[in-house]
Amino acid sequence: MLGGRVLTTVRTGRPATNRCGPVSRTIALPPRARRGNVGPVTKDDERNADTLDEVCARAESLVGAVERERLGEVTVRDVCRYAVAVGDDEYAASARADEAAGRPVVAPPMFLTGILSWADGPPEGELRPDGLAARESPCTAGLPVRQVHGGQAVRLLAPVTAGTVVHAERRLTSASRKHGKAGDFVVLALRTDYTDAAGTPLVVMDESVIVLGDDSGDGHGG
Amino acid sequence: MAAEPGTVCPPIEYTPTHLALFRFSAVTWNSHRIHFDQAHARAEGFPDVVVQSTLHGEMFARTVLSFAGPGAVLRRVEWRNRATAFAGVPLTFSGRVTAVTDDGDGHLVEFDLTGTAADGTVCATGTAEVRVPSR
Repeated sequence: MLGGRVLTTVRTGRPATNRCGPVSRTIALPPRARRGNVGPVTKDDERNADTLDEVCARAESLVGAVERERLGEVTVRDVCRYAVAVGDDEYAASARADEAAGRPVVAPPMFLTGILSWADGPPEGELRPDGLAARESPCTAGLPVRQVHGGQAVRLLAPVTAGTVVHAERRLTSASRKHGKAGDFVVLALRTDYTDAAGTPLVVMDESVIVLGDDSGDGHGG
Repeated sequence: MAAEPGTVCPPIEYTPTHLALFRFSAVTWNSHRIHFDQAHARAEGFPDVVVQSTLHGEMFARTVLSFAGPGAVLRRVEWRNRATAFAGVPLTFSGRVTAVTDDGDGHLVEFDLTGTAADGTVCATGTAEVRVPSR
């Protein structure tokens, strides 16, 4: 979709801190058709605890690191395909009319943050068994975990028009160990700041990624 | 738009098909198999493929912008996923005005948002803020 990706990782100097302390609170999670974490502690429970501890340890080492990316140029086709995919055919027709008339084509407001990745890859062989790329599943490489999305908070600071070259700074802001009805899990909080090439802020997006231990033993997510 | 606190937005009804979820995954470069691979979704314990979180956000944005009318600009939207939504299950996205404040030549309108499945399960809740120009 978009090319010219440049990726750098820098440290901000902010010290890593332990955000994965004891169980802090209970939140709702999507349904989980797994063996329940009830009754005596099992080897599955212990394995999940070790796995989530490892996720936390990795997260602690990443808090404070900033990943900078040149995402690439937003095209009319990108935004029209997005609109059509969500059933907004009228937007696509209007955008193509604007393009033909030489008017600016403004992207749908949720376009930037709706894109999970702007990278060309990775190759299929480098994806996790659940299909996620390493950058989309931070701190979990090689670990038997599942992942779901907790939600987003999006602040839209300026319109994004076709032709804009978008840059992003992404960072892991915290990691928290929590407990729900389905057992323990880790909430990774990430912030992405989107700007244009001149550094003008476009969008700020905070999101949460929920990492669950995979106690099914069926090989998924490993 | 007649906006005052308590005003309810006309809801948006949306039933995500398997094809729609696949196309949304494709266009957003989201290869998470729970969204398009039914066998994989079932292996993870879901009854069918899962509606993408960001699709909830898109529908929330559309709900408030459709209500606010031409010229309205989305300033902020946030939501939290409360329960998983699945392909083929009708969803209703609704909003309610919680506050209206003057903003020079327009108004800032704040909303509460709810995404509900056909069986009444609340799948996502959130808030949004839209700037509406004076007519």
